[in-house]
Amino acid sequence: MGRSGDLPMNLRLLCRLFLLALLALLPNNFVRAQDSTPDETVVNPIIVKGSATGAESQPDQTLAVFITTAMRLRGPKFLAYLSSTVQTRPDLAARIVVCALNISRLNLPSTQSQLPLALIDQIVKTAVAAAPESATEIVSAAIRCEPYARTTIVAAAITAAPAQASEIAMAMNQTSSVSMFALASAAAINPVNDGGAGAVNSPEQPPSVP
Amino acid sequence: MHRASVSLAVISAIALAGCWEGISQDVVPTILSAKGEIVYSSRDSAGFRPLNAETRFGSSATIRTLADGQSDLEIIPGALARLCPDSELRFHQLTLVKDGNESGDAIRDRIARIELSRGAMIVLFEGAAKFTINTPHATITVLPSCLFRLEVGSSKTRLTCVRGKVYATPRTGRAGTIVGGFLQEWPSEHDPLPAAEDSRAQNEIGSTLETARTLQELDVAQQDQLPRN
Repeated sequence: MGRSGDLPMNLRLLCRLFLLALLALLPNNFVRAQDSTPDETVVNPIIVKGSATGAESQPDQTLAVFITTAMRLRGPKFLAYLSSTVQTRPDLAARIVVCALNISRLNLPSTQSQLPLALIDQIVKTAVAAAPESATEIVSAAIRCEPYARTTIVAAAITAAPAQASEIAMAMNQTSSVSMFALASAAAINPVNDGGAGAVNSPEQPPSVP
Repeated sequence: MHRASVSLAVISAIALAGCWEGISQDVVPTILSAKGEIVYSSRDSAGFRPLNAETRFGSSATIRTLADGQSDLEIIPGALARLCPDSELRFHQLTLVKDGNESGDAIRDRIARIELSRGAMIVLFEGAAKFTINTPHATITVLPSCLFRLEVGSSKTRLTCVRGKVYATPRTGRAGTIVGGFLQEWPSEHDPLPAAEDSRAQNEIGSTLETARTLQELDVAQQDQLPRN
């Protein structure tokens, strides 16, 4: 009798322990929600990690992303990426074009000192077509970067944005008058600067005057 | 029959070995430009002497740029570098291995082993060579078509890779690869970080690209010059 009467008591005890354990395991918020006011509700902070969109990011960040990505691209993919970046950030169009020209130079053979004009033409056309309102800035920056390709740059820009032709011509005129002489590389023509030969030491001396 | 074939093999091996007239020669770096105050010390000289674009020093030299100094160098053919202000670079080994019998494709190997003990340098590497840079915290193995900036501080070494990839073996920690668009610092337990997420690296990428262009232009200009005595 005694043993048979202990069993229900044990069961009851087990049930109580089980309920206590269940209550202890309930989520803290659920227990608090029973007796807390709305002001005391604890809201876990939400941390969102991600990059800003291209239009919102800092100029340096945009350029860094462009450079590191464009380095891996060639041909049409490179031009397509240039176009989309210039469209996203027309305010940085000139700097983006300079970066594109510099990246293209890195891909040249080491003996080649100038970019092919066809490539410059493609880059300028793509950039101007993506941001016609920045055509003058793009042309000025490209001419400063690749001065030997002035005619190609201007022609490409006018082809891509015929409505901006007068502004482009004005920008070209502003950079042409002085730089025409500076860019002719007078130092390269001058024999004094030929190969850094140093001071001329000629055996022939002027006649001594008594 | 067996003896004849062995003899033939030995004779062939000797004959083929006779064709190899490899010449291993130490080369000196070419100074493409020098600005500000720069000093150098070669193995045979005790103190540091001023350096300019005309200076030629041995392959075991040390270059120091002072606060206003900056130098552009061609370490070996295809390996261009800018040594930034307040830096120290030591050349341990610059060697070309050449096949003396070849007149066209004669270069068999290029070896460049340098050490950046402090300061910063920008490296543009095209071509093929065994090119390693030692720093206090890591050894960098430079792979072809690579452009990066390396900076050695008092407690950290930092590498920002713009193009290509480099292998790095840190003094402590595991070796790894840093590809273009990522930066890595040593000592650090972290993997390389995207450079676009680091404000300093963003600036470094832009300036490194501009420097690469300058180095290329200087290299092309130097190719057009007559060899110096």
